[in-house]
Amino acid sequence: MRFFAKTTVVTLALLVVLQGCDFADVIKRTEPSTSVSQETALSSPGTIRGIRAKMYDRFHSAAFSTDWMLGPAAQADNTFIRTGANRMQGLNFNNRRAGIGTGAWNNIYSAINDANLLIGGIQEDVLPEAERNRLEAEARFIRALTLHHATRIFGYEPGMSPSSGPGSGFDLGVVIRTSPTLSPDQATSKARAPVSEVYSQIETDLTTAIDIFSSLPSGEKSQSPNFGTEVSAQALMARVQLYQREWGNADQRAQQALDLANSRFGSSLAGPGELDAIFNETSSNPEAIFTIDTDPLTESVGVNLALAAFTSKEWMAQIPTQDLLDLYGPDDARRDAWYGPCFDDIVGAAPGGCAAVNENAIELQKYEGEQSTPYADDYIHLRVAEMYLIQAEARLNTSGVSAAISRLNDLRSQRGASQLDPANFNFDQAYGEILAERRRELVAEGHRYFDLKRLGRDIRKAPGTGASDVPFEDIRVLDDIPSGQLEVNTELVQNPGYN
Amino acid sequence: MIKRILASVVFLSLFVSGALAQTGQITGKITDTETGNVLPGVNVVLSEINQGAATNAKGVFTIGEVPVGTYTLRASFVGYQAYEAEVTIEEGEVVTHSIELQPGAVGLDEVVVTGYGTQQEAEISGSISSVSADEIQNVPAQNAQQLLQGRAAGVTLTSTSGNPGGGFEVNIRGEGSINAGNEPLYIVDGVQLSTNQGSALTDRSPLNAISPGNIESIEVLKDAAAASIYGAQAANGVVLITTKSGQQGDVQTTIDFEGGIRTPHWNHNPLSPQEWIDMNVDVLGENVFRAGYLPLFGYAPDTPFSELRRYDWEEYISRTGAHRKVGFSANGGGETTQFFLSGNWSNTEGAVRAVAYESYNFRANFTQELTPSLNIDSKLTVSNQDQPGVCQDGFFINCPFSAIQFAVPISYPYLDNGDYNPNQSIFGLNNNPAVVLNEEERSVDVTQIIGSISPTYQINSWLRLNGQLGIDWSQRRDVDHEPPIADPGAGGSTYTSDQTITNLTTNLRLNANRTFGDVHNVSAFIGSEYRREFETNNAFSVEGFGNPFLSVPSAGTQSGGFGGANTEFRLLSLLGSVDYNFDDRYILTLSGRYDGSSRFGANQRWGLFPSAALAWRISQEEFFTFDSVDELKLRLSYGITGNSGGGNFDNFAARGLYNISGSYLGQSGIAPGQLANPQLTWEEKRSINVGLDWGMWNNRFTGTLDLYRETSSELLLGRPLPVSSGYGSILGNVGEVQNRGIEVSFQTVNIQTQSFRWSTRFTAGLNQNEVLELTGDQQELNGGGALPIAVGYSQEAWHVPRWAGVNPADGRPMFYDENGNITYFPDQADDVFFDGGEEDVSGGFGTRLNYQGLSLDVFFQYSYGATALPNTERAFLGNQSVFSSGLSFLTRRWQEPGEVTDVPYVPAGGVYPNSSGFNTLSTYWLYDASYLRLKSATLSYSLPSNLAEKVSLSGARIYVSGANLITWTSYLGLDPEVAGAFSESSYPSERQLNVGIELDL
Repeated sequence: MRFFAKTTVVTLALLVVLQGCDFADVIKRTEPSTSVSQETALSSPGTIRGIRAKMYDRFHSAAFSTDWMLGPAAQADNTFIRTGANRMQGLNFNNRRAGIGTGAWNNIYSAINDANLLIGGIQEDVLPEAERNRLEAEARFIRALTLHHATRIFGYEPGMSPSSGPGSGFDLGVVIRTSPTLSPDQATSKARAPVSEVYSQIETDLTTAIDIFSSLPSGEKSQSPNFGTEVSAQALMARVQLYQREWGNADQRAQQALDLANSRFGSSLAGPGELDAIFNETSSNPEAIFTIDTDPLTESVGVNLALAAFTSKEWMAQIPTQDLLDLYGPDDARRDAWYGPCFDDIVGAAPGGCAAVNENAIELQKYEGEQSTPYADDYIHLRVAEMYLIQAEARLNTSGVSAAISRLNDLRSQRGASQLDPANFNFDQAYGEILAERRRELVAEGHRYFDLKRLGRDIRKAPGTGASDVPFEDIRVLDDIPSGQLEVNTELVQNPGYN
Repeated sequence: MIKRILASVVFLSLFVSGALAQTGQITGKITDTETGNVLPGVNVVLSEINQGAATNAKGVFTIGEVPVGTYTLRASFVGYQAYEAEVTIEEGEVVTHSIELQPGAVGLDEVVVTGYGTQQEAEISGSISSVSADEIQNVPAQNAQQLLQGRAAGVTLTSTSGNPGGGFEVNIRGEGSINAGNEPLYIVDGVQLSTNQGSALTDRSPLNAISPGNIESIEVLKDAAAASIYGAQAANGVVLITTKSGQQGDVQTTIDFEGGIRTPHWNHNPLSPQEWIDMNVDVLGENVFRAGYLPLFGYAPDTPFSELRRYDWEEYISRTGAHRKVGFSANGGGETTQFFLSGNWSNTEGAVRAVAYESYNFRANFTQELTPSLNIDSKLTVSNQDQPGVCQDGFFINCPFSAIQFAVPISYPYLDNGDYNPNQSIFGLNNNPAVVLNEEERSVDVTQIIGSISPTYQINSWLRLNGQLGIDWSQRRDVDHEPPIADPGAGGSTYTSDQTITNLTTNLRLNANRTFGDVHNVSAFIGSEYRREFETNNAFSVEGFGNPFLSVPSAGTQSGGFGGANTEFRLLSLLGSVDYNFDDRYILTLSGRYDGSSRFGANQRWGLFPSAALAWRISQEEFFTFDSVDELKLRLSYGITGNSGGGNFDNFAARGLYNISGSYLGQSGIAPGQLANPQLTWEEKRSINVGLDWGMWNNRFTGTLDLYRETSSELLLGRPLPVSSGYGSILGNVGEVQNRGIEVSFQTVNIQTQSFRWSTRFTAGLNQNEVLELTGDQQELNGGGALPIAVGYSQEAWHVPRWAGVNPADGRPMFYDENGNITYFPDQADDVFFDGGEEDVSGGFGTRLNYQGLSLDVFFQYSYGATALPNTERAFLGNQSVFSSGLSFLTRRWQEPGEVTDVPYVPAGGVYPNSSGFNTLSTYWLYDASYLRLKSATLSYSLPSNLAEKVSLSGARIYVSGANLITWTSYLGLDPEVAGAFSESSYPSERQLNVGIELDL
C-alpha cells in the first residue's frame, strides 16, 4: 500500500510541476511596461498619435534646438565664445568636422522615419479619414523641414557648388527615404541623391501637404502654430524657394504664408513694444507661423545643453559679437528687447570674459527660459518677419532695389529702426543691407551661416575674435558625413576633401 | 520532450521500494587522535540516506530511527581529515561506533557544495574552488565577495570602490562577454540572486545582505562541467554560498563585539603649497599670478606670498572613521529540530567625510524532521543596509577624489566667520568641496530578504525527492538631497528612486544514488526549475526648496521630473545529471540543462547546455605505489554554458518595439525603438578544462592545477544599421572572445606538532583574453577610442599614441607617429595597441601560525600586469595652474634648454601652442597597476577552557585584525586595486584596524 501511496505522491508532484508547464508557454507571457509591439503601435489610434507626438518631440533634442538655432550664429559672425567657456568653440573656429551635422544626422532620419510611418506605415482605417490625412500632411511638412535642414548642412544648393577647389561640381544632397523601416531587411544601404532630387522631393512633400491641408474640413484645420499647417508649409516653401533662388516663387509663397498666418493665427509683424513677446513663452507669439512648444518640466534639453544655458542663463558660452551689435541703429527696439548685460542668473553674478567679445559685456536674451524652469524655451522655426525678409530679397532680384528697400522698411518701421532711403543703395549694397537686416532680426534663429553659404559667399568671422574667415571653396563649408555611417552604409559618399 | 521525461519519471518511480519499516540506532564518541580530547560539533552523516547528527559538548553523537541496512558513515570537522567507515544497522539494535579524527590540512575528503547537491571533493570531476568558514574566520570583510579575493584561483576580484559596503567586479576566468556582462551567477542556499541591484548613488555589493560570519562555505563553479547545470546563466561561472546550519547537540551561543577604525590608505602626491606657488609664478610671471589668479581665490593682488593660506585638501576630505560591530549566533537542536540563529549590527564610518555604512542582519535557519523520511530545511535572512555615500567613478567636480585634484593649496573651505568660502575655486560656491561634503545628503537604503524552504523526502534508501521554494526580495531607495546652497540652479533638489525586485525560484528534483556490485556507484538526478524576476522602479525629483532645513519632497515647490516602469523575465528549465563512479577510480559526470528564457527571440527561446567530465584517481590504482602521494586525480571536462545577459540588457531585446519616449503638447510620444530579431539568443561559451588534484605527505601538501580554454561566441552585439533607416543598430548574436589560462592553488602544513602548527596557502590565476571576431568584418567596436575592443587584442587593450618624451631643446611633449618618427601632433593614425587593463596574473597567499590558543593569520593579495589610466589625474593636469593642485612630479618640469627630463614645460593657461598637450592620452599615462598588498592580518588568542570556565564561559577569544595594511605598487593614481582600466575619481581602499572579542556562552 505504502509503495503505491509513495509512487502516487511522487508522480503527482512531478505532474504538477511539469504539466503546469504546458506551461512552456509561461515564458512567453511577459510584456514590456514602456513599449508596445510594432503591430500595436501602427494599428491603434492612441499609439499612432503617439508617433506623431514623437515626430515633434524630436525637435526637443539639442541637435534640433540649440544646434539648429544657435549653431549657424556661432559658425559665422553673430556670436563668439566667452573667454573661459568652451561650448561651441569648435563652431566658432570652424574646426574641421566640427559642424552641426554629426549631432543632427540621427535625429533627422529618426524624424523622417516617424514621418514615413505616418505617411505609409500606419494601418488603414484606424483613424478617421480627415485626421489621417492631416497627419500625412503634417508628416510631409516635417519630412520637408528636416530634409531641407539635412541638405543645407551636407550639400551645396542646386547649381551652387564652388567653381574651384575639391567641392567644385559636387552635386550630391542627402539620402532620401520615403518609406518606413519596418524590418531589418528594409534598413539597407542607400546612396545620396543629387541635391536637385532632394529639393524636388521637398517641393513634392510641401505641395502635397498644402493640397491636403487646404482640402481638410474646417474642423480638422489646426488653429495652432505648434503643428505643421498650411501656413507653415507655405512659409517653408518660401524658404526653400529662396535657397533655390526661385525669387518669384519665394515672394509669392511668402505672401501666401503671411496672408494665411494672419487669417489663421492672427499673426502679423509685431510692433516695437511686442518684440519680447515673440520669444517669451508666458505670452503668445504675435508672429507665430511654426513654433515647437516645450514643456519646461519634461521637454527641456537641460542645464548643459539648452539655448538659455548657452546664451543668457548660466554658462553664457556664446556672446553676441561687437560686429553684430554695431549693426543696430540707436533707436532700434530690437537692441533693447533682445540684449542685456551679461549676468549669470544661477550664480547671481556677472561672469568674466563677456567684454572680450563685445565692449559692454552684453548677452543675447532671445532665449531666457521664462517658464518655470530656467532651461526651457519654445523653438521658433518660422515666423512672420522671416517672410518679409524673404520678400525683400526676392524682390531685389526680381523688381530691384527700391522694391526691396521698401519691403525692408515695412519691417524696420515695426522695429523702431530708421527708414532707409533706396537712393542710397545700389544692388550690392541693398543685398548687403538685406543680409544685415537678417542678422539684426533673425540672429540665433538658424540662418546666418546658411545665408552666406546659399549665396556662395565666404563664411565671415567677426573682426577681433581671432577666428579666420572660411572661403566658400574651403571643404569645411560642408560638414562631413559621420564617418561611422560610411562603414555601415556602403553606398554613402563622403563630402569632398574629407577622408 | 516534457512527455518523454514524465514517462521516464513514472518508470523510475516503479522501482521505489517499500521497505522502510524496521529501524535501528547508531551512537559513538569522537576524539582527537593526537590529544584524545573530545570534539564537539563534529558532523556525522550516513551518506546514502543523508541522515545525520552533530556531536554534543561531550563529543557524543546519536543517529536514531535509521532504516536497517548498510551505510557509509562520514564524519567531518574543520581542521581534521574526514573519516569514513561502513556501518550496518540492525533492527532494534544500538550500534556503537566511536571515531578518532586525525588533524590535517584541508584535504580531498572535504564535502563540497555543488550545483543542486554536495559531493566529496575526491569524487568531483569539474573545476571548483572552495573557501571554507575556517579560512575566513575573523577576516575583516563586509561582504562575501571580499572573502573570495585572492582565495579562489582564477577568480579575479577588482574592487569597484573602497567605500564601506562597496562591491567588486568579479570575473571568473576572464571576460568572455563584451556587452552581456561578466558577473557570475550568485546563489545563496539555492536561491539565485538578482543581478540587477545596483544603485546610481554609491557603490554596493550584491551580497551585502549576507553576513560573512554566517557563511559555512563559498564554492565557485568554474568550468562547464561544474556550472552547466545552471545552463543559460552559467557562462560567467557560478558562486554558491552556503550559510551555516544548526547542528544537533547542546546549544552553542557566541556573542562577539568588534571596534575599529578606518583610515586613508591611498597614494596622492600633490605639489607642496610652496612648490605650487613657485610653479605658477614661474609659468605666469608674478604679475599675472597676482593680478589674475589671487583674486579668484579671494586674495588682494598684493597679498604677500607668506600670507597666502596653505591648505591640505586631502586632509580635509578624509578622517578617521569609527567602526563598531555586535553580533551573536546560536546553534543547536535536538533529534528532530536543529537551528542556527544569528543577528548582527555594524556601523562603519568611512575614511572620507560623509561616508558610512550601517547594516542590520538577522538569520534563522531551521531543519525540521517531520517524519523519519520527510525533512524540511528553512533558511531565512532579513537585512537592511543604510549607506550614505559620496560622488565617485566619473569625471565630476563634485566627487571628493576630483576635489583633491582641482582644489589648489591656497584655497580653503571656510571663511573666518565660519561661512563657506565662495572663492574656493572657479567652479562657484556650490562646488566648494566643503559644501558638497557637508550639505549634500546622498544615501542608499536597501532592505533585502533571502529565504528558502526546502523539503526532502527520502523515498527509500537510494531515492530521494528534493524541492525548494526560494525568494530573493529587495527594496532599494536612493535619495540625493541638495539644499539651495549646493544646487542653486534648482533652488535645492531632492531626487528619490525606489526599486523593488521580487525574484522567485522554485524547483523539484528526484535524486537516485545506488551502488551495484560494490564498484559501480551511480548517482543521478533529474529536475525542473522555474524562475521569475519582477522589478518595479519609480524615481522622481523635486526642486525649489525655500529653506536649508527640510529635505523631503513635500518641502519642495516644483517637480524636477519623474519616471517609473516595471520589467520581468522568466526562465523555465529541465535539468539533470548522472555521476558514475567505478571503484573510486574512474568518475564520469554528465550533466545538462534545457533552458527556456522569456528574454530571447520567438525562434530561439530554448537551448540545451550539456557537459561531460571524466576524472581518474590515479592514486587509487594498484600500480600506483608512491607512498608519499595520498591522492592524485586527473580531470578532463568539456561543456557548453550560456550567458543570457543578466541585468546588462533589456528583458525584451529580441522584440520589435515602439517605446514611450518624449511628449508633445500633452501627448506622450511613441518612438520606434528596436527592430525585431526573432533569432536572438544567449551567448554561448564552450569550455575545455584539464585539471590535476594532489595530496602528498599525509595531505600536508595538497593542491590543484587547472588549464582551460573558453571560447565565447554568439556574443550579443549591436549590428550597425544605416542610421538613415531610423535605426542605429539591431542586437544580434555575433562576435567571439577567447580566454585561456592556468590556475594553481596549493596548501601546505609546514610544521605540525602537538601544540604548534604552521600552514601556508597560495593561489594564482593566469588568464589571457583575446577578441576573435566582431560583427561581420568589423575590426574595432569603438573605432577611434582609447579602449576600442579590437579583433586580435584583449578586450581592454589600449589604443593610443606613443609617448616619446620631452624635447630637451624647448620642453615640448613629443610623440611617435605611426612610422616611429617624432611628431608633436599625434592623430588617430599614430595610435598603437598597448597592454590592456586586464590583470595577467592575480591571486593571493597567506600563512597561519597556531600555537596553543594563539593564532596569527597573514594574507597577501597581488595582481600583476594590468595597465591602468589614472584619468582624473591626467585630465586636471590639462590646466596645471588655476584648475589643479598639481602632482609632485611637476617639480621635474622642463625649465631651461638642454634639460633632460620626463615632464614637459608647463605653459601658461595649460595650452601648448606648438604641440599637443602633456595630457594627451598617450602611453605616458598608462601606468603599470601591478601591486602586492598585505590584505589582512589577524592575531587572535583563545582563552584556555579552564580559565574561561572560571568566568562561566565555555570559551573566549580576543583578536586584533587589520585590512589593507601595506601596499607595494608603482601606480600613479590613488589605489591600483580600484583602478580598473580607466580610473576616474574612484574611491580608494581604506585601511582597517579592528579589535574584537568573542564569548562562547
